[in-house]
This record gives sequence, C-alpha cells and structure tokens, in this order.
Amino acid sequence: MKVSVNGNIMDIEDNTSVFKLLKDKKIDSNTVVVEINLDIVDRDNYNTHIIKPNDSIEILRFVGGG
Amino acid sequence: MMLDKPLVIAGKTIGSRLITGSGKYRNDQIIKDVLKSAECDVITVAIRRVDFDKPEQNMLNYIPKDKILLPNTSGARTAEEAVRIAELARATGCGDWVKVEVINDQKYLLPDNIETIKATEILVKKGFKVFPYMCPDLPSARRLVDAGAVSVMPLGAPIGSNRGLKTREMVQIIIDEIKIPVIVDAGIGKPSHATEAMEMGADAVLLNTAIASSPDPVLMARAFKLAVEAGRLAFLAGMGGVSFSANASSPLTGFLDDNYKFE
Repeated sequence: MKVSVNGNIMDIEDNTSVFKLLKDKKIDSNTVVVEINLDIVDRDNYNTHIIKPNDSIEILRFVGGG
Repeated sequence: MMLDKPLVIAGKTIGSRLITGSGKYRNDQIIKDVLKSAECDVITVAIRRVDFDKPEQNMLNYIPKDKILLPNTSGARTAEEAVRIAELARATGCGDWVKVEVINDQKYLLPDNIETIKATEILVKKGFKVFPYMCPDLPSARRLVDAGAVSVMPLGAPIGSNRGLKTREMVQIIIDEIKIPVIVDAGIGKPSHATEAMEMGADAVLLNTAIASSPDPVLMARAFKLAVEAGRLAFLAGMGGVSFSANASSPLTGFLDDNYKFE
C-alpha cells in the first residue's frame, strides 16, 4: 500500500506497525517522534499502531539549531 | 563582594548565563567539545525529518545528559505551526521547555511578534514553559509576560549576522521594564557583544553562530564563557560615572611647579 513518509511516497506492506517501519529503516524508536496525519503517535503505541493506506507519516528527531 | 543571585527560570536554577545553540557545526562531536568549553547548562535544538541515509545519526548522543534541552520551533511561520512543533518536541520526552520562534521573513529571519504572542498564549495554556524569541518592543514584551512566558528573548541583530546589539536601546528598555528573565538572543557575534548585553543587565544571552562560525569554536566557546561572566560581574559591581572631560587618576603632584600655566 502507498503511504507518504517524510514527504516521499513509499510502498509498504499492509499491516505494518510504526515500530516495524522504524525497524525496517534501521531507526531507534527511542530517538524519534512520529506523527501520522498530524497526530503524534505515543511511543508506547509504536508496536500496536498499524499504518493505513495513504497515511501521511512524519518521522522526526532533534537536530542542531539555535 | 556581593554574591550573584542564581538565575532561576521556570523553577529551575541555571548555573550558567550563557545559553548556546547546537546548529551549524561541521560535525556533532564539536558540539560536545563546545559545551564542555562553554560550561553552559542549556542548549537549544531544532526538530527536523530523520535522514534515512543516516538513520543511526543522533545528535543527542553528543549532548551530556545533565544539560537542559531547549527545543525551538524553528521552521514555524505561524502560531499554529509553532504549536505543532512544540507538541512534537515535548513528545520526545525532553521536558516542557520550548523556545517559540515564529518567522515568516526569509531575508532577515525577524520573528513575527503577533504570531509569537498567539503561540505563547496557546502553549502556556497547554503547560509549556515558553521562551519567546521576539523583536524587541516593550508592548509586545509586556503581552508575552501577560501570556505567561517564563522569559522574553529580544534579538540584538538578525540571526547569524554576528552584528552585535544593533537594537541596543530597545533591548535596554525591555531589560529595565520587564521583570521576568530577559535573554538577549540572536546577533551576538563577539564575546564583547555578550559582555555588553550582560553589562546592560540582561539575565543571560543565547548565541550559536558566533561560536559555530569561528575557525576555533572550542576556544571561542571559552571566550564567551568568560565574557558573560565578566559582563555579569561588571553589572553587579556597578559602572562608574561617565563624563566628557577627563578626571585624573592621581591628584596634583605638589612637588612640581604649581604655577605652571596650562594652555
């Protein structure tokens, strides 16, 4: 199914959890914050939150800034 | 010697009156070295998309755990966007401090005071400790205080310009009239600018580019640490009087001819 991740359209398997998506991208889930369709996904729910078709996903972290 | 009162913001005692940014460094290791040299306690960070080409890269690995993170809402053009970024920052578990930065001017990066005030009102109600970055005008500063900000952060000059306290007079008015901590943020380019801000009575300064753009950031961080301390001590000591004419350091000698005719 198609979803948007950080502004890019990607194909991912049906029933992918947030946790699996992060794992597939080799991202430590403790170091990021995830927002789907403008709602923040609680870190405790990464395992259970299943991504739906056309979801708009943002995976963000802290970077340098002033 | 009069001991300084500690700087207390949002209920936290901050040991250092120098706040640094984490942006513009060539690599993350320099951030760690700069923090050690600057001996600051608070550091600003931004929120951006993860780079999928470098998934393991995490700047937080280079920031000691005892530092206080002050996430900024950089990128926000409106109050609504600033609120969204603040919520994202808080969701990382870093705490509820947030520097509200709302900028819709790409040339000078001057903050939009109206949107900043709106964002501050909303975020304070949501329990954030808000540090608003603002163009220095007293009425806006007063509105930010009324909205519940824990500090106001007037700019000295455009972000990254290294130009110093171009807004000096307006900043001085805010320092004199606003009772919550005033942190001069943006435009400080040299340690002497930081000293100047502290001599004026600022409670702290925030700077990033001045250190990051120096050929030796670690040494420059040390210079800024000392500059902020010097300015603060001078403020506490109190400046002597200023005059147009000279005031001799030693009295007339007495042993030289007192009938000498000066021009």
